[in-house]
Amino acid sequence: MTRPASTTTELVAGPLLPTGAVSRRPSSLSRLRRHRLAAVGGLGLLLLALMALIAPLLTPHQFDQMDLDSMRQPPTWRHPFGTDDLGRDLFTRVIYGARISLGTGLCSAAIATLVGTTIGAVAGYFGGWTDNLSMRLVDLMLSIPLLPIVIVISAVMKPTVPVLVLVIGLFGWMVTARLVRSSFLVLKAQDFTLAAQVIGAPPGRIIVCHLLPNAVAPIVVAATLSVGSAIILESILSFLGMGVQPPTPSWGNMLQDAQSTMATKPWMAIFPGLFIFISVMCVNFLGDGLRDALDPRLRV
Amino acid sequence: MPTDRAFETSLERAKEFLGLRRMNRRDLIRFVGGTSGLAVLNVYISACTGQPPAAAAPTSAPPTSAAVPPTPAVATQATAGQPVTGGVLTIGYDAEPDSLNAYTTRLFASTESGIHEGLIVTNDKMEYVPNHAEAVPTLENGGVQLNPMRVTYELRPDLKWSDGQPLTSEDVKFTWQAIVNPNFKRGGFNFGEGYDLIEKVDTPDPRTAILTFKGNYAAYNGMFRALLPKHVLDGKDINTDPFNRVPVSNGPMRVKEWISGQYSQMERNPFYRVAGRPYLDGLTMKFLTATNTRINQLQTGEVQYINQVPWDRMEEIAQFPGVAIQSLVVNSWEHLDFNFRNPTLQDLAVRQAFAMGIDKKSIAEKVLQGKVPVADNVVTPLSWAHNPNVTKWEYNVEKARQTLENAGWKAGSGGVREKGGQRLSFDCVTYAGDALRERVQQVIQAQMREVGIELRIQNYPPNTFFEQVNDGKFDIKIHRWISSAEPGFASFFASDRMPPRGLNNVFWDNAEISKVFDEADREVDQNKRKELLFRAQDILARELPTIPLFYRPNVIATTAKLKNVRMNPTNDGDMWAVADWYLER
Amino acid sequence: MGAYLTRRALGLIPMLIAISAIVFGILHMIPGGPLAVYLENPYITPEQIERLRQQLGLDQPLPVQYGLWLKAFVLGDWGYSFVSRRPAVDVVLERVPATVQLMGAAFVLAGLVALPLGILSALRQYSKLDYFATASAFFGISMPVFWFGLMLQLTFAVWLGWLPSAGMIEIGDGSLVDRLRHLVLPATVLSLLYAARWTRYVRAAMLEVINQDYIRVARAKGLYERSVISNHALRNALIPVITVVAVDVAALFSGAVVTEKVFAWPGMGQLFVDSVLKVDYTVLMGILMVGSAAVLAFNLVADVLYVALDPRIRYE
Repeated sequence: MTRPASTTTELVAGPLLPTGAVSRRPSSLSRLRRHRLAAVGGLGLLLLALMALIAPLLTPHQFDQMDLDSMRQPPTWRHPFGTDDLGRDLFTRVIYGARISLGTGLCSAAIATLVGTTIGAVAGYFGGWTDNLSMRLVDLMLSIPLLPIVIVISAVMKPTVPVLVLVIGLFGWMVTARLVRSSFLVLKAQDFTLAAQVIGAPPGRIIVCHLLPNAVAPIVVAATLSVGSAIILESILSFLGMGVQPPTPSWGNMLQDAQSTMATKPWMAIFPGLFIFISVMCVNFLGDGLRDALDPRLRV
Repeated sequence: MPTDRAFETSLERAKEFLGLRRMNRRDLIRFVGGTSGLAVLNVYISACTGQPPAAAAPTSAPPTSAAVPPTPAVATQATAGQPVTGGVLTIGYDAEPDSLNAYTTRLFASTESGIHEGLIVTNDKMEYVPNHAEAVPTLENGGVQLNPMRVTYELRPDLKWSDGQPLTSEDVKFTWQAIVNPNFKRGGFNFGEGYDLIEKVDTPDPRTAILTFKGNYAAYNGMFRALLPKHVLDGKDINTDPFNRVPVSNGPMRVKEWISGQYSQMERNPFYRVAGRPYLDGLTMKFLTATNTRINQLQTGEVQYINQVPWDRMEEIAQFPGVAIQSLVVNSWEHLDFNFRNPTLQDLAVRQAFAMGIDKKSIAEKVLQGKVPVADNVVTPLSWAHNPNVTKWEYNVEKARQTLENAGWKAGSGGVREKGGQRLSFDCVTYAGDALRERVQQVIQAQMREVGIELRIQNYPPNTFFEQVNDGKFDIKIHRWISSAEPGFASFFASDRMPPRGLNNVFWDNAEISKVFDEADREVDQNKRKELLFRAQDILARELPTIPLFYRPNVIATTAKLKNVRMNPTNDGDMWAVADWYLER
Repeated sequence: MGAYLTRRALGLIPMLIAISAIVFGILHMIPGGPLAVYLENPYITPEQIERLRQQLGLDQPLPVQYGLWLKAFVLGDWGYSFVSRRPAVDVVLERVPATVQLMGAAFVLAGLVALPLGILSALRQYSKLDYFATASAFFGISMPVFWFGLMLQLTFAVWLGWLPSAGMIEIGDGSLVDRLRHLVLPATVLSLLYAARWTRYVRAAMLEVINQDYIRVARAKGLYERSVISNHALRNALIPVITVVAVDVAALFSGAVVTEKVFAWPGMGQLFVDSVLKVDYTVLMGILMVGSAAVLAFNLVADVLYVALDPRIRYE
């Protein structure tokens, strides 16, 4: 994302909604805070990813190593997170679970965000028939139920994890598209857009360099939320046989397994839930940081 | 430390926004504390006027009528004490029926068994007992004659429908005609091929119905589990008639109303054939599909009976005060099957390795908490056709490995055995979403790894599962079959019953057993039939197209005040004797 | 604007028909269909299944089946449920009141929480309230609904006994108080999810707006803070919020499956999932048609509201 060459556009480039130069820039203290949070988020995600990759080095047990004599044990030194219904070490499973859950969550959120942003931007900027068609496509996709699709797919082909990621991604872009489009509808009516058009900037450049940075805020929120919901959705779908098959752990399906014993043995649900929570938080902080980095206001 | 002015001013702004500008911190705390205190008080008051806490009754030893060991947490149900008339029982049921007409319902359910009665019913000991018929017709008592096969049912005197109209043999004839009517879209479980084999039904007098069959049909007593009232349904389209929702019935209860998605209410049938019964004034059946919710409602006392209690929650529920558990092994067995279309699985040694490599005892005791009996035979011990002397395969990992070695399957890459380029690696399928079954599957996967066989798990939702299976798209499958009191397992193993013609979805083509089944289906003499079926079970245990794992108990949990509940191991359902249930004061 | 509206409104019907065709096709790709339930049944012969298939008209080519369905559907005949043999229109529409009650209550609760919390969170960014709100929102989206539902059910119904654990009414009661008592837990569980989402959007949008010049001007003019926020800031911040709310409200019709299961609420979510698992074509088409009509309608409403909130938006 290069800086716009002309200062005119910079001065007039406003935030997401009605124009106005920023009269009160966020103080340096809060800027530092944001940086720190973004750094924490990024670091957190990196650590989680690293943890997922080097899982075999970190874990004393196998994720499918059963011990039928110590099922559903609370946390102990040998099993820091306790054991599950088949005596498998939960710590190990949570770490291996990151591979599936984090991977699925991030990839499908990325797909959804990319597809949604592209379609929404094009629809919002060009308007007319492009807008009409795109939004009707959105309506169509919103009307098609996910569940039957999943069942059909799992019958027709082997429902593996990449298929799962694709499905979740392709059924999650619609909200982002509508958000981006509505932002662009507002931004299109601004003077700075007109100015950029007048000086002959091509639509692509306008969209990417001028409009998109201002529309980032709701995209970030949508992306964060879709990471969390993708992880949960993955568990619901694996409940139907699509995606991760037992004994491969994922945070979502560990939560599913913990359903019947939630009241009496809460650790089986708490740890995977905690990791989902942490992942979502990290993505959000990172996203906030990204928004601030892209926000033209803060550069002047 | 530099204060950030932004914060102070934004706090001010926030307070303004809430109209709290003039309050300082102390006032704010008082305000918040006061309102929340009032709120709590309010909730508390309304809670006190709500339901009273469940009376803590002493925990009785949980009863059972399981005839098969081991089930340590259960004991025999006490039926001592005088039955008391009165009270409405609230039931939490796991599924809503699709129809209360026994012939249009697709479910293996039993909700309608408290409403409808047929000619014969199977009791909790798997014996045929007469309901509306006066006696069970057999060869011995002359009720059945051969060449051609004729079965005579004598109805009891003075039978009535729940609307007061008399029930006669005309209704029996009408029921048959309705079922075989080509326009009738048959429902499900409650009918067999028998009705199509009936040539005619004669009704010489209102209490006698004589069924003439086209050929010999051994399972005649399994028919007519419910009767359809001619005076209500004659000339109507049975498929869509409101009768399916609120039927006119002849059982101890009759339907009062059925609110879709929520509950149905049944009340005592004043015209029931046994005077003074049922003891209960009525039944309310709530549809609670989520297991946790059913259990929670039992705990709060909002329901007094729940069905489909998962085996791994039995001990927990037995601890609830005032609650009793009943468990009964039914005609259902869980099994692991092989696909004979896979040439590797045609090798008997491989199947034997499975039989010896699965530690059924361990699974039953640890994973299923000792609540299920291990099975070595597809026929449950409750059935008269159960052969107790079939070959039993003991868990022996060494022997399993040895058998494979001897057959030429040597250890290969990844610990998976191979021979001539083929690896012992199989796709293993079962229902997705069934937690206990998935656990069993994973344990078996781990156990087979010890022997050198790799199982790749691929589960499907139930609908898809059967499609895939019947198309042969699997190597190993794990699921259950249910059968009626009639040990009709020919449909699973006979050569001519492969899908779509039958349920032999192991695709096993064995001439020997097919011949045995053929003879058994036509043998009306119980003893000769027993011999044939024994032979069939021997063949199954030897050839191992399937490995029976365990028998499945049905478990219910009720308030300890509910007495005389006798569970039924067949598809006649647990409400077959609801007339005898009563609630203690 | 008028022309745009007319165009959109006219486009609704063809859109619905197109969606119905696509959905019909997808549903018929589900293996087995409504007769798959008999595959497990040892007593039904294949001849009987085939005969049933013919009687139910399932053996005809797909376009023919679709044509027949469409012709009947536009005349108000939704066919008979394959599961219960009742008219599909009854089966679907009788669930609407319960669904509307639950979702309506959940939306109202969610809105009551999300709006003030989001605004305050933005006004007091990085304060304790903001962190609390943020953390709660993430908690709301990290823990699945069945967990909340179960926890609340156990706490309030089983352990404390303050509220009924499931169902819509106490059989034999049915008074307003009774209904409200049954509504509390499921509506709360459901609203947590929406509140979590909407709070994030409100907060993000408000953050974008409050540092603007014109807000400063409004404050400088001496307006009460409340007026500044509601009249000036909120209007502009609402556009993304309306987008999300419109989509969520339209999803009402297949929405709250898990909540409905846990609290035995007879809503359309449960009906939808049951119908999918049993492949009940007629009921499914009914539900999905209602659902897509809702999607189309609410997205149209949202598009109109954009213009109301920001007059500079123009549709060509």
